[in-house]
Amino acid sequence: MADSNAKHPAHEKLEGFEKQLSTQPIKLNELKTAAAVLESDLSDSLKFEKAQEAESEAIRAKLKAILKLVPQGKEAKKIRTSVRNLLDKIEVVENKPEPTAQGNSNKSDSGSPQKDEKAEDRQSTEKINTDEKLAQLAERIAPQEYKKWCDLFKALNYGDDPGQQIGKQIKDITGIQGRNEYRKVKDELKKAGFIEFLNATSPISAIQKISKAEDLDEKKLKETISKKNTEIKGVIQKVTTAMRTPTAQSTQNIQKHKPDAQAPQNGPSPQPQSEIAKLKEKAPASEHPFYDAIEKYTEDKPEARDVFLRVVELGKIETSVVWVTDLKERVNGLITGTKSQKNPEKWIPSLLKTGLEPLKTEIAKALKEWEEAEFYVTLGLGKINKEMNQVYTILSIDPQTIKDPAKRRYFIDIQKEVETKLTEIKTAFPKAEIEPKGLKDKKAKAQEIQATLKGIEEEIKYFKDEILEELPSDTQSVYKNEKLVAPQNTTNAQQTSAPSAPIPPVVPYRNPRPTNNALDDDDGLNEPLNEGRPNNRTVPNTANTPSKPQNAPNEPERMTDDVKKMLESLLPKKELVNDDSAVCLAISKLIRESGIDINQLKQFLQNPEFLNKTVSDEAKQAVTAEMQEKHANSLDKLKTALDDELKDIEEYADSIKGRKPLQTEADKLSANRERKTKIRNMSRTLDLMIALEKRTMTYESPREILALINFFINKDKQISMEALSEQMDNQIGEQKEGLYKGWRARINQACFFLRPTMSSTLRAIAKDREFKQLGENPAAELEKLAKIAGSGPKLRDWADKLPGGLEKNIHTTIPRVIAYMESAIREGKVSSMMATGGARKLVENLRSLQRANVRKEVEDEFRKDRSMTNEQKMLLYVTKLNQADQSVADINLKLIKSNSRNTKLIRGSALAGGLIAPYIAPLAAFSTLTVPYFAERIYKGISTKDTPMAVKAGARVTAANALGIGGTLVGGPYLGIPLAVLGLATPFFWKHKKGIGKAGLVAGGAGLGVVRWGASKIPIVGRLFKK
Amino acid sequence: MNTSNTLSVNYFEPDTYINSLMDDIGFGEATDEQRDQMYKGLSDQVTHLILNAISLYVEPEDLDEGLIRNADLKDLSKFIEDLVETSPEAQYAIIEALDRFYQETVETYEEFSRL
Repeated sequence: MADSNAKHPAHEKLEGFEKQLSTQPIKLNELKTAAAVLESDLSDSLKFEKAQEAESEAIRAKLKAILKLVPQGKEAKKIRTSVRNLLDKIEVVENKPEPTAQGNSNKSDSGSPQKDEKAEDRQSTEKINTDEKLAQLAERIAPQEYKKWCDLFKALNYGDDPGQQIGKQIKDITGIQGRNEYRKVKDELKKAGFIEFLNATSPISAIQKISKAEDLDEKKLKETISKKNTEIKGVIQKVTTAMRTPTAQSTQNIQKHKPDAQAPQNGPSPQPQSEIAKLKEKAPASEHPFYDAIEKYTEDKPEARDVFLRVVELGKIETSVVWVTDLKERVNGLITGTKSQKNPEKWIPSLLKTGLEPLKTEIAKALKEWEEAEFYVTLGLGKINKEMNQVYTILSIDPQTIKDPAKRRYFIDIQKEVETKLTEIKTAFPKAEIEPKGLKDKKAKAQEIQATLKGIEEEIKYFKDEILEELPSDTQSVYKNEKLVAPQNTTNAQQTSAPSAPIPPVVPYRNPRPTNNALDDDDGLNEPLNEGRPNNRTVPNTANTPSKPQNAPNEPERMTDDVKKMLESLLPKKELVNDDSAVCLAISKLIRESGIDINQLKQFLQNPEFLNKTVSDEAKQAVTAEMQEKHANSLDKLKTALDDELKDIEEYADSIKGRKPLQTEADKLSANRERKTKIRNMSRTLDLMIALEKRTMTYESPREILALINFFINKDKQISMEALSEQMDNQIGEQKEGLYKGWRARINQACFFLRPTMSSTLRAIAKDREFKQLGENPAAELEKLAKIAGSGPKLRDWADKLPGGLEKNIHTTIPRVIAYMESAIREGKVSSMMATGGARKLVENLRSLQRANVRKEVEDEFRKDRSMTNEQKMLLYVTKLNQADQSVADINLKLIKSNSRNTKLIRGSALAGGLIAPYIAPLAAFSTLTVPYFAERIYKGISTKDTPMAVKAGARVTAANALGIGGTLVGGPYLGIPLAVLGLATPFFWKHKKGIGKAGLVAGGAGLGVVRWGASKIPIVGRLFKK
Repeated sequence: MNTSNTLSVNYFEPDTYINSLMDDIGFGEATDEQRDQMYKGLSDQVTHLILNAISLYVEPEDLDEGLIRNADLKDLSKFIEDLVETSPEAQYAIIEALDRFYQETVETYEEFSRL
């Protein structure tokens, strides 16, 4: 201690105290005692000689640092006071140290430091000397100014303690009221170039820093100090006036009546205060204490109040953002005493101090996440709504327009099922608007939606790329750009004829913009997706986009209003003109493609002048020469003759009916059949020509009009009627195909909504006899899982309540459920909107249930055998883990084996789900790829029973097998390979997993997280997403 | 606990991962035989975790595509690599599974040591 080179004894003690302060958790009582001891220990030893001024400054700095560490609040007031007292006691005495024990030792050392320092550091000695001189000089020449300077310095430098109030002294010296003013003053001083003044450790060093060392001239020094004092005062004056001006009245009042340092906030605070009052009014009475508490404890902390207000605001937006509710509950619990901590005075201020910054960050984060999550949900819902609109078109179609009874029945069932599904969806998304229960839910929803959308895109992609390839090339072009939705009139019909199924409102985006444009948004969410899947088209969106120009090539045919009007005026029944009529569409296309003027055409159709020679000649050629002669130029007579001939032919056929015809008769019959066809065709043409000749323009079907238009267009070309007729058939066929396409797309859509949910998958799984031990109704037991999939504790409860409890089932039921669910996931069987994520979660949670059980088993073992070492315990644990996996693997393998033979088991189990009508079941059971294929067959009326198993499904099963075997045969032949592979494949992700995970949380899904995050890191994008 | 801190590697190296985990569960001083046993047990687990994550998170459609690209399946490792590379979800699932396993194992160890 007496060693001159040793640090001042205060250092050690202060360091000890500092350490104690920064130890968590803070024990206030111990600290208080320690502070008292510290004060009594050091109070006498803080007088320094001039030579020790540097030391004194160091101790002062230390004390200041300690002061900042002391917690806020009344509790810690004593500690602060002690520290401040010590600060005040630091004193530099002019060569006359107090004759205390400590002082003596100081005194005895006083000579040596200078010597040592001389050898050590001449410069600092000189500096100290200069400081000394300066201080002496200052005190001597300008005692008044110097005192003021010191006071000002102390006020401004030591006022920054974390106490609840600005010291009275500061107020008296500077006139600063409240922390706001104080901070502002400091800011302004910094701006005004007093930064050195504020950073100095003592008034002297402040002088030294402001004035130059050579300014030891008396007059100059006096001037400097006085000038700087005035300047600083000026800044303070300016700030305080500026800050008080708006509320001058109240400030004055406060000054007059409450010259108390704890005077409530000036300046900006009144507004938040009234905000709190407003909030309080709106809040239920039970929450009033919460607002009172905030009001009380943030009185002179406008910043903290701000934070709280934002917290409350957050709570308003989303009351169940977990931590906000938690916060509220905690505060309420504290106030009402239901929580163990009863003392809000203790808790809130400490939160304000220690929690302010983290709290602010939290809020900012939460707000950001909130916005983003909401955006994605909205985005997703917007898309879903559009999808739903399309489904509504299915609902709006009148089944009676379908002539084939089998198809009609099928369609009606589809409609029913779609309706049921819609109800489900609507329940999940009430009115298709977001009313989530929490941010977490939102994220989950966003994830589901995004996954669903991906599914839809894949489906569309498949449809476009694969199915269209199979079509004849000339028809392909028509559908290549076809939107996978109903033709326009059904959309219209949906608006008019489906009041029972209102279109859900499209949720407005936070930043309103069309979905497609959202892809280009700078958040980069979808860019890589686009890049990686160049063939993907965005989800069809006809309901909300204006229809494209009618004449654009490659568009599905739609009748223009002109054509519609024209046809309606020509045909006896308006119902004949509709968008589901291939003939009408063929007419429309013909008109559009030939480019004929529709008015001219109409004129012609009403008053055709086409009875030219070609046609009548051709008609005549169709009849026998005899007839030609006989009937000369009368079309009527020709027609009668043809009718007669037809009659004869039919009579002849009737006469032979019921017995085996002779050879000659058979020949004649065969010839007659050909003749009959010809006569019929001719007769129709003649009918038409006769009608036209008589100008009684009544067309009976659109077909007649199509024929005439064909005539009209080709009148100058030498094309036979037969060729024209064939051409006409092609035109109609093409449109039929188009309609069929539309249908298939709609069925496809329907199928999407009909895919099994998790419940139905679980029900299906339960049919397996493996689950017989679950009692009479295994399905009911397993179905419960759908609701509790995400909750570990609930799963545990579930397992406990099973027959035989957890113990019996952990090695039987649970591995089976895991294996079956995994198999279903792999096969894409659980692909409904809600299910895949949930199924994965279920599997994960069941597996962790297994692991927890393994842990317990090992514990039981080593409780029995106390001699086990830690290593042995861990080895046992890992071995048992592998065993548990193996039991799942065995079941998996069994499933895979049976899937290899045929895909019956899983598919069968999904089929057996019994959720939907029998002929829909195959659709529901088959994965995305196979759906359109089967939909097609069903639409065509082809039995799915005889259908060979889906081409693609086979491939999927094989792939799943390979993986499944690898994944399940733990320790099998593939051990090691994937590890090495992953070393190559994942370095990037491994490196950046944190960023990805974060982005994933916000974006609602790891995949999206990667995409979003990756988008901002250009180099990776290409490698990852370009195949 | 975060594995990236524990491992201080930039990418996933199975060997580093397993060895680090073994150190964290008190196998630093174990006998060679015990270490061998543990290494095998852990690599079984890790293999399982990885393949399971792939099989659950690679979309069935991607499985199909991957299979088309690697039709013969002669080189399973290439097939898996292909799948992993095309599926960010699977990659993330793998990483998550590995992290979780690491954490759980260390927690288990700590708990066992206390008892």
